[in-house]
Amino acid sequence: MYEFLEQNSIYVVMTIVLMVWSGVFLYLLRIDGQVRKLESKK
Amino acid sequence: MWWKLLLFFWIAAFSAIGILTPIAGTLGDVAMMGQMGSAKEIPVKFEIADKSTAAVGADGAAFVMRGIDAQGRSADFAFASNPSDFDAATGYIVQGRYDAAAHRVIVSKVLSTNPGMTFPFIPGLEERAKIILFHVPVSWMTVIAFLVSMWYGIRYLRKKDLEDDAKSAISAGLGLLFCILATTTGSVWAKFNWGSFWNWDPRETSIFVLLLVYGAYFALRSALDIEEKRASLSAVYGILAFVTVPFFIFIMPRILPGLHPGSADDTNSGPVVSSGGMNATMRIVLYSMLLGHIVLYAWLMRLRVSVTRLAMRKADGA
Repeated sequence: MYEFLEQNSIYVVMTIVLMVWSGVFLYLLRIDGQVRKLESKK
Repeated sequence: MWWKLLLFFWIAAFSAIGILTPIAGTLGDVAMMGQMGSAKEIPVKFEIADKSTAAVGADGAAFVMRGIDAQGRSADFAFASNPSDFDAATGYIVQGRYDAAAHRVIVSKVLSTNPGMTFPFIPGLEERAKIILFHVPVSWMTVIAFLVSMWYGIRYLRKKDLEDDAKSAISAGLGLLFCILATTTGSVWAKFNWGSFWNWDPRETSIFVLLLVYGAYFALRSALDIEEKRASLSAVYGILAFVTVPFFIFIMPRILPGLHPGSADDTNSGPVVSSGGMNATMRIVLYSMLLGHIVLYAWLMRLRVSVTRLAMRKADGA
């Protein structure tokens, strides 16, 4: 895995793109949680 | 609705352009690799100088064509055999190394025919230079989000409206998220570029301190129960915290020698925006990504603010 990434460094860049989008996704999950809490509180 | 779709296509398109645009070096780059005694092959872009002179070389072993690189220098390029798309080709990006004695580039692989847009070859970074299109917008968003957080902090202190406090906290939260993303993406990149996930480079040290500074902001908020007190104290802390941001992001990593591009002893100034050494194509893609990230930040901020506003109204009504 390490060697593959070292030789094909474009996949290092791809990993980084995925990390950024995972962060944004986690943030959306938090907003989702907030909306759900609000909905159930009536 | 339309601008959200546009935002999606904007970021997706520029991400794809950033990732797919090939890296292409010049004859200067490939010659320098040869002088350094490196057997490593690098991508070189050239235009075919005169098609009619391309032929099997005197040694009979290779198909040789004269090529001119982006800087106007020329050299022979020796292909193992006549490339099948030679008739339609005006230029190539090839993978090869320089043979100084014969003044020719020995081609091992054709990477692209009739290449269009390319990014420059930066020794030591190569494809990894593309991180700038994803890591740098996220870092700049950190600064913008913290700035907006300070702005709403000041507004709270002047108008004492708790909604401003909520906005300030939400923006600081987004800033912290972007700051964590900038740190982790940089760390993964550092593993492949510098050999270790964490090197205590000035840039890494300063962002670590920045994470602590804004981590403390949320520790402070969670420690105070009375809303007004929490709002004023965190607004004041947010203003003081932002004072450190330009120092940690823009000044300290630039005046100290370090590993990160843009450090004081960086001689490889290719990928740094401020030095003016950045390739124009890369700069356009970077600024487009930056614009996309600003809108993304504004969207996430607006979404969270709406939900928080609803929650506040509900709490008031109950």
